[in-house]
Formats: sequence, structure tokens, C-alpha cells
Amino acid sequence: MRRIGEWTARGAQWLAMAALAAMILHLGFDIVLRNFAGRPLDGTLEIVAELYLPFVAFGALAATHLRREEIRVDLIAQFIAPGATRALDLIAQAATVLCAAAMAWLTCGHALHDIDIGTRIEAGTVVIPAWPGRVIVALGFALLALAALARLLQEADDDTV
Amino acid sequence: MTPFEVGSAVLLAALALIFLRFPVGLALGGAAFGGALLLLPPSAAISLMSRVPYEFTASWEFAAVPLFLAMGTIITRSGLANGLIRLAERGLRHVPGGLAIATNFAGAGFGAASGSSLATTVALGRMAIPQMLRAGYSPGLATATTACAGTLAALIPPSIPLIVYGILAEVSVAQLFFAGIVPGLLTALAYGAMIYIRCRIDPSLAPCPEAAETDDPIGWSVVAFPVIAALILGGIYGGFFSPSEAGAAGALAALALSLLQPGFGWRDLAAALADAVRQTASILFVAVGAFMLTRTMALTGLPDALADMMELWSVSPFVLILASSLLFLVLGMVLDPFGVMLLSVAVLLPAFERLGFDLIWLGIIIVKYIEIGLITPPVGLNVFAAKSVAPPEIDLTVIFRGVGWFLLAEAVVMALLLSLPQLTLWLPNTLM
Repeated sequence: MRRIGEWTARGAQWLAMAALAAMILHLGFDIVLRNFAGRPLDGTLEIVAELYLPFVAFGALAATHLRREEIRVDLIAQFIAPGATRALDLIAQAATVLCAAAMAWLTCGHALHDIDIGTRIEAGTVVIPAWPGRVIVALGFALLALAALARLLQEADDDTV
Repeated sequence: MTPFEVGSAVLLAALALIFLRFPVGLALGGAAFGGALLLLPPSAAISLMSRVPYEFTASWEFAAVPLFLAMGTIITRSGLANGLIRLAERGLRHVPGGLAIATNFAGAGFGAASGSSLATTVALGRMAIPQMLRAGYSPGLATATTACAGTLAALIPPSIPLIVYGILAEVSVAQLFFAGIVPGLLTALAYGAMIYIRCRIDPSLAPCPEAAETDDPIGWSVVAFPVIAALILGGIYGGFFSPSEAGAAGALAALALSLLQPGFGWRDLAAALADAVRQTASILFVAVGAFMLTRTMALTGLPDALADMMELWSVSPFVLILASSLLFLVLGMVLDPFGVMLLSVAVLLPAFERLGFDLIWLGIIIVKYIEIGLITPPVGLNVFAAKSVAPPEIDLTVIFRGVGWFLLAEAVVMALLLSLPQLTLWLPNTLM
């Protein structure tokens, strides 16, 4: 489970990195063309917002969780017994699995609906399909659920040793 | 339950979950979702909340966050910061506390190119802490200087907290950037003056180094920061690009300069991009949770009720800002910086708006408190970052004790910023 979680998280992180690199280059070209040739790249704003950003933001969600880089407050750990801290961590991890899975299910519904009705975003002469951005949000939450499950099982395992 | 009671319960639930070690984004989002379910029919609540992640992320303004983070991680990975730190150390070596003052100003410079407090602290600490300790500096001064210099990145543009505040409060990020410059420099000057006075009074804190330890060549990379900072601010001011696009220009400039650095290759670039997307995901998760909370709070009417209460009690702006300052300080001690900012924007902004506060000035004040929260115990993230790059024998309490002096300097700066809003607003009002 841990290995599957790691592979899928790493794959999605590469997608996020590729989207970030593409976004930087796209915006760079747009700035140069707009300021020096007077011809901006059509639909840049919409492509950045609707396509690149969801990939950049949600692609690395699972990798962040697996590397324990999510933002959390450790204040209480100093005042309670290590056993209680571990129990709280397990509960938090289980809650993350459930919430992420629920969000994956709900956002997947939006993505399937968009695919069904063929939602498109028109920006000048450019027409962008809306579904890739929606799908990566659902995928990001699904992989987060998987990563949290892998962490939960590992932490539970460590607990019993 | 009345909507007001639901709002209060949601806030308490969010805080309780945060203290119980739930990821902050999950705590905020989970409590918000629960509140929405109490106030709306289930299908409406689910529809409202499940659309937030995409709607929040797919916004043009949010692009600035990953772009500036990429610029910062490229600079950190390539070591472009090192030349500036060496130059500052060489110039100030024979001033009392010179190495610490140099680290402080290098922090301001690095903040101008990275936008991230933690990245600045770690990058500075790796270089400056060993050097100060070798020169005989007090461990408390050496580590606390690094922890506090890192916080300057929260104010000096481009600042990630200012971008997130701008998105949530719907105010101009460009104006926020320009508004952060004077308070950021003022803080750096106050830190520098405090270090100088302390070392002047007690020279044993920071003996002047005798050997010329830093006389290896500095190289061209020392101009990298001024070039990148001038490109970003000049480009925004000159109308060549928006604050979001400035992130792309800054990242490309950082990449071009980094490729000239010996040893920087594709692996480093990939590692920098990986750092940037993970930091983005980490911030986004909290921001989406906070955005859900903002929506639930709007449903409960709690923020408006608070604003009404302030009007009814004829609370003066001074009392409100004083009470909020106390609240920010206390929250900043126990919550992570983004949690404090996002909670306060969700709950308190309408009250501030109703009493006629300038939201640009308010953003700077909130980020200033966040900056202070980064160095106050028990959740001083920058102190933990400094500890992670300091020798293991230096205890956390030594660093926190050293930080106390910087908090005194912060108190002076805060008093100035609160009593003279023009200090903050003069530059954005003049330029934009």
C-alpha cells in the first residue's frame, strides 16, 4: 500500500512540476510578445487559471502528505503522553482518509458532469475544455486519500510493534 | 441553533481540531462543512462546499503563489543567495555585531527574492550560523538573528502571505507589495540597531573576527538579488506585467541567473520545481479550508453580527485594533501563520471594513503579526527552522531567549506602524 501510494503520488507530482514549468514559460512568452510585439498569446489568463493552476496545486497534494509537509500545529504534543499523541495522529489520519475520499467522490461528480455536457471555456479565439482541471482536482483528493491510508496503515503498524 | 450559535460552534470546532493535531486545512474545511450542513439542506451544503477547491484554485490571482515559490526555490537550490550574504558579512565585519547585522540585512535581501520566511531562515542559517559561532558569537544571538531575519520575507515583496491576503480580502496585490516595503525595511533597521546597541554594550556577545575568513572571491552572483527585485517591482510599477505575471518573470530571471552558477543543472531545477509544487499544495490545502470557512461564516452572519456589535457599542477604531492586536498575538503563539491570517480575514474583515480601516494597511498589520507569530513560543516556526540548521547542542530555549530582544524591536516597529498608518500607505499611494 505504501509503495502504491508513493508511486502514484510521485507521478502526480511530476504532472504538477510539468504544469508549473509550462505555466512559467507560457507567461514568459506572453509578457515578451505583449510588450515587444504587441501581440499577446490569446487566452493566457484562462489557460493559466483553468488548466495549469489546478494541476500545479492538486498534483502534489498526496506527495506533500506522504512527506509529512502538511501544515499542522504540534502544540499539544508537548503536554500529553506519547501514547495519546499517537492515538490522536491515527484519528487525524483516519479523518483525512475519509474527508479526502468524500471530496474525491464529490469533485469526481462535478468532473463527470463537465465531461458529459462538454463544458468549454471560451477566451477570445481559444476554446479550452473545462474537464482536465476538474479531473485533476478529483484525482488529487483521491491520491491524498490513498496517501493518508498508506500513512495510517504504516503508523498503526509502528504502533503495534 | 441560531446561525450565530452555529458560527461560534464552527469556530470553536475548527480551533479544537487544530489543537488535536488535525491538518489545519482539514480542521478548517471539516468544521466549515459541518456548519454548512447545519444551516442548509444537505444537497445545497454539499454542492456549495464541494465546488470550493476548484473555484478557489482556478483563479488568476492564485497563480502568483506557485510562481513566486518557484522563483524562491530556484534561488535557494542554486545558491544565488550566497554572494550577497558574503558581501554583507565582509562590509560589516568590524562593526559591533557586524556578522549578525549582515545576516539580518541579507535576510531582507533574500526575502525580496524568495517570498518565503522558512526558506530564508534555512538558507541563511546554513551559511551564517556556523560562521557566527566560529567567530565566537553568543549562540543565542547567532541563531535568533537567523530566525528573525527570515521573517522579513513575510513583508518585503514578493510576499506569499500578502498575496494570499490580497486574494481573500479582494484588494490589490500590487498595492500590498509596495505597502510592505517601508515596514519591512523599518523592521530590518530596528533589528540591526538592536543588535548594534546590544553588542556595543556587551562586546562579549559578538567578538570582532580577527582572521579574514570570508575573503574568498564573491563573484557576480551578488548582483542577482538587486536585478531580480528591480525586475519584479519595476515591471509591476511600469505596467509591463501584473503581480501574478511578475512571478513568472522572476522565476525565469532566477533560472537564467542560476544556469550561470557552476554546478546548477537539470536535477537541481527539477528539485526546485518539486519543492515549489509541494509548498503550493501545502498552502493551498489550508487556503481552501479557510475559503470554505469564509463561506460558512457568511451563511451564519457571524462576521456581520460582530461588525454590528462594534457599531452598537461605538467601539473606537483604536480599541478595535488594540483588541485585535492582542487576539492576533495570542493566536499567533499557538496557530500557524496562515491559520491566523485566514481565520482573521474570515471573521474580522467586515468589522474592520465597516469602521473604515484601510484594507491595505490592515493587511500589512496582519502580516506583521504573522511575522511576530513566527518567532514567538510555543509555535515559532522560524525558530524551529533555525534550530534545524543549528548545531544540535544549541537548545530551543537558547534561541527563544535570544528572540526576546528582537520582540522588543518588533514592539517599537508595531507602535510606529499602528500610530502612523501613512508610514505604510505613503509608498503605494504615491506610486499607484
